[in-house]
Amino acid sequence: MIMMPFITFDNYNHRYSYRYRSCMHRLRYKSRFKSLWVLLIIILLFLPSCISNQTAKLDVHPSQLTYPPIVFTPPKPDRMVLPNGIVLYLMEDHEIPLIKINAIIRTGSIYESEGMTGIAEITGTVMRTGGTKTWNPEELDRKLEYMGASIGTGIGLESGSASLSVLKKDFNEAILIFAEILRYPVFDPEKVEIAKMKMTESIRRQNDEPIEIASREFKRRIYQGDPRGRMPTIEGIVRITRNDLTEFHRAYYFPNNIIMGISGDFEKDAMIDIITRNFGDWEKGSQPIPAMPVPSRIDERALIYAEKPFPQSTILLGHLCCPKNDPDYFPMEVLNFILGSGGFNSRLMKEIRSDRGLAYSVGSFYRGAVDYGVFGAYAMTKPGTTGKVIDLILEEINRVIEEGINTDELDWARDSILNQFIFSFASTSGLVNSYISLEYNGLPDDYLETYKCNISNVSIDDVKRIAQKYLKPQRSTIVVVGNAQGFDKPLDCFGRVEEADLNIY
Amino acid sequence: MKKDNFMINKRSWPDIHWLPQRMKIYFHGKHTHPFTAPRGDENRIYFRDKRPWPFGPPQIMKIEGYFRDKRSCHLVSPRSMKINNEVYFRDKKKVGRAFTLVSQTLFILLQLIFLLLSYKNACAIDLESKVIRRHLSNGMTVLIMERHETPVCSLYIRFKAGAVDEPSGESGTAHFLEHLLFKGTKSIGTTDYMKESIILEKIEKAGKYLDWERQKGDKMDPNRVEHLSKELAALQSEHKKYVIKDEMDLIYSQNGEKGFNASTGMDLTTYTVSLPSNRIELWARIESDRMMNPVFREFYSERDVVLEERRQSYDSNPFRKLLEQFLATAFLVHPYRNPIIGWESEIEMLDPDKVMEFFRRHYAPSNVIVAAVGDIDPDRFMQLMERYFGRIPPQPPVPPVITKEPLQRGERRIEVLFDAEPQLLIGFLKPTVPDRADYIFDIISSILTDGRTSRLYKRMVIDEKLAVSVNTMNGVPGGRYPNIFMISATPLYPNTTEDIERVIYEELERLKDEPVSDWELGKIKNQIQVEIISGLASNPGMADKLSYFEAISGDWRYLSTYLDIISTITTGEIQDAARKYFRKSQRTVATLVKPEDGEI
Repeated sequence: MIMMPFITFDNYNHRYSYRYRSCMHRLRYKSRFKSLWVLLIIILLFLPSCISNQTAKLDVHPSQLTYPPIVFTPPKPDRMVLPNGIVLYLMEDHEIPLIKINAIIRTGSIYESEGMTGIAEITGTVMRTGGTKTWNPEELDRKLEYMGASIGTGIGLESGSASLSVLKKDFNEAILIFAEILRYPVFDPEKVEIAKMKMTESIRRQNDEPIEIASREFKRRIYQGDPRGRMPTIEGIVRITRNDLTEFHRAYYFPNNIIMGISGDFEKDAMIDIITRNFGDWEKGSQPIPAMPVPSRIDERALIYAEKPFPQSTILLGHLCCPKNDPDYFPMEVLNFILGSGGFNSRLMKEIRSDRGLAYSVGSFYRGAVDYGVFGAYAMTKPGTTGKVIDLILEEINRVIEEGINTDELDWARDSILNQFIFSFASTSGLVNSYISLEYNGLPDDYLETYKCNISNVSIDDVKRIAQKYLKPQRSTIVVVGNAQGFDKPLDCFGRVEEADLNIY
Repeated sequence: MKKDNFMINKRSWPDIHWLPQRMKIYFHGKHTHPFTAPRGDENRIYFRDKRPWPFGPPQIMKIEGYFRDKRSCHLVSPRSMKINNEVYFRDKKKVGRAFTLVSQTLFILLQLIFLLLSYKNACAIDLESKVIRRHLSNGMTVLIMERHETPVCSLYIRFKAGAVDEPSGESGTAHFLEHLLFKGTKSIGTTDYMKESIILEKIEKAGKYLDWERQKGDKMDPNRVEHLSKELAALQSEHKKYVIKDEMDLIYSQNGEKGFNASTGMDLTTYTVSLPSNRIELWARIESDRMMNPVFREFYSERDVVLEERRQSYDSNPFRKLLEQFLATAFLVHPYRNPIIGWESEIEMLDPDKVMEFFRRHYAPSNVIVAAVGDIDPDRFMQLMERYFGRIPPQPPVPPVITKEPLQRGERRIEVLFDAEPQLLIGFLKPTVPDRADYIFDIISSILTDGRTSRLYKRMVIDEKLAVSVNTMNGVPGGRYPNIFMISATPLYPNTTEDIERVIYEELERLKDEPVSDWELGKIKNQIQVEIISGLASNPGMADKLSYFEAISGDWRYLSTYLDIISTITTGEIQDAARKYFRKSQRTVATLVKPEDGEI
């Protein structure tokens, strides 16, 4: 009886019968060998002429191809400081008639006072939507959109930003608006109301997607006791007034607190004139910006479980790590690449995705900031393999701590990072952006020039030392979002389980 | 050699592949001048006699050049002629190389001269002068745009094959195939392909039996499943001996790739990578190999990966779930109703034969568009293309999808239960490019939701504070076949989806009743212009656009003529289109609703 299915299957699909196919297969090989002999004879007969034959090259293994060297001198933007303290980075690029400005402002939600969480984000939004001294919000929108120009403003965790992108022919008009938005936003009360309502709505919707829940709970935990770990609440948003926004703006938006990068189709001198005309009379600010607090606490192992009946579990684990302004940053980059951010050949991807088919998204991340960094790993898998995947991730982290990496892995990671480096110069505005953020983060201005060298110098021992120094699987925060009923392993195997509070406040 | 001779008469001509620039047909009588087939259709010879009735079909006098035979893929050339237009063709497998090279060089030279001439009256942002379009002899289309600012380039390969082309019961094949094509070829990803292929066959067999057993549901024999699973696992671990894992990715990343990836859509499948420009040959070597000799390694574990992908991006995401159910409602029969990733039960049963069949059929050279943008020397690039991709044999053209969506008889409305806050989708069926209506819907989309001054955004988000967001999309879920104009909106609490739905319909009525203002049209034209100009600054962005429009509309110049066509559209046409398509009976509405306890 057991054999029955075989028979029916074969009969059903007789055209593709396996026996027939494998037999064909063997035949194919036989004939291929025969032609191989013929080929060999021909090669022997016409050896000299064959060497130059192009077609022979086609079957060379791709790793044996050779390439002419790239001749390229990376350009560098000009830096200058206006008398009132605005730092300018300028880089001409006449390829297309477009001009872009990106400004970075020293502020951030990190400076929000307790209970006012969300004020930075709302300030950043309403600067653009709430009108200026000269333009009411609607006029401003109409003017910009008719030109096809775009201005954006925003305030993130550790910086504020403002950007302008406009055709060369409209630049003189657009820069007036851009300057007004930075200098004289009026925060129209109705637009403040809209921004508050939108933010409230996003809080109401904050449990709609698993990844959002996971990253929120992760941040809340690793930044415990730090302003970075505070989450906005509806209650807090309601309390924010227009006055608070005006004050937040006044406290951080002054010329000696701004770095501006300008790229595109302009003449440098003319551009400096225009910028001076629009920003030159902006008075220097005197109030110093306090240094940002540094999160430092690495917790004991904590397991945070957020219950929501998704058909898949989202796993996020990690902890604080080494900062960007540290020589350890480079080996840490290499380590992260090999462990889980370097694509299919990284260890986590290989083990969890391609070998076992347990996840579609899996990997590690490392973000180096000023004076601190964050390292973590993530995966999404079906409930029945949740425990197994957590185990595998921890195993891989432990393995790299104990065994380090091998030469092949190091070569691969180094080559990848070094060869990809040329893309840092692929767009002028991107390059100018790198320079303004280097200055903002207090990194040396030859950072890009020395980057290649710093990566090349990383050794196997460095990586092992870094892994032992910074990776703390036994002390990491583990967040799991999903439905524990289907889990293969109770979560308390991994530590004391704390349930996340998914109520909306 | 007699076996290789065969006869082709007039009637079967459309079955022969026409090789561009290589064929001339001479006729008797007045038609003695060489006949050249019309441009724009490289796959078939269209033979139309323009003389009025009662003249019969023209009599062939002489044919020069050669064709490619559909079945054997060999070159065939006319050997002799006969009366009644019957021509004998002889197998010309070993066609002289010299002729090919000479004719090709001539062609390239001619194109260059043409380009130089046309460059004269081209302005700084004239796209037509920047883009070079060529064809390989096997029918592949190549688009090149030079940008020498940085020594990098973006290389896109698009196949005019996607989820819409899948046979019924095999949804997810196109996407799964895209995954499998990362697993290597006969020479990449293996230590010994000959030995490996034997195990691969065994794995295929075991996997297939296992699938069939599992498919039985209640009647499944658990012992047999266990036995087969063990067998499969053992074979898979034996297979590992011959596998160099993800070697393609390894080589590309070692050479500094950026954005080495692929994507599958309803209409198209795209393989992308950006590389330092000295490494273009690497791309040609790998990608041509991938088109000729793919090996489906790790088939069954990759199928599990796709199931995880489905859980992640369709089943755990409220918007995607809503969209999936919406499309399955809006299209009753057209394959646009199936999700790109496939239905779970069908993904679970995909087998290597089915996927290979799809590959063979749809990944034909005539179905391919290559776009290369960046630091590229067009002539050298074309040489590489000929050398690597030129050896791929031509294939018969792929027929379009037969199924047509029947006339919709009445509004369709569904609720989708999901533990999340409410969302709304409204869709109207409409024609696709090159129909003028498609351009009109682009304008309507812009009028309704592009920017803060757009009608729906201004009214719903700014003035009346009913919604947090409102968007429109023209051409959901694809562009090759008639599709949907879709409006999506998210209400602001305590407003409901009914509240915002009503306002949307009011604005659609306004489009029917009042002509659109000149200011709005002027704004849209300016924005299109800026979009085209700023798009030029990105290699991947440009490669994406060029290849996309070449694939969907048949000519990338859709992009360069776009603004001109938009400029000819009148306010009356917009009103007419609104009246014709925004009808209650023609719409589908889907809302996301929180389930009550125990409802789902």
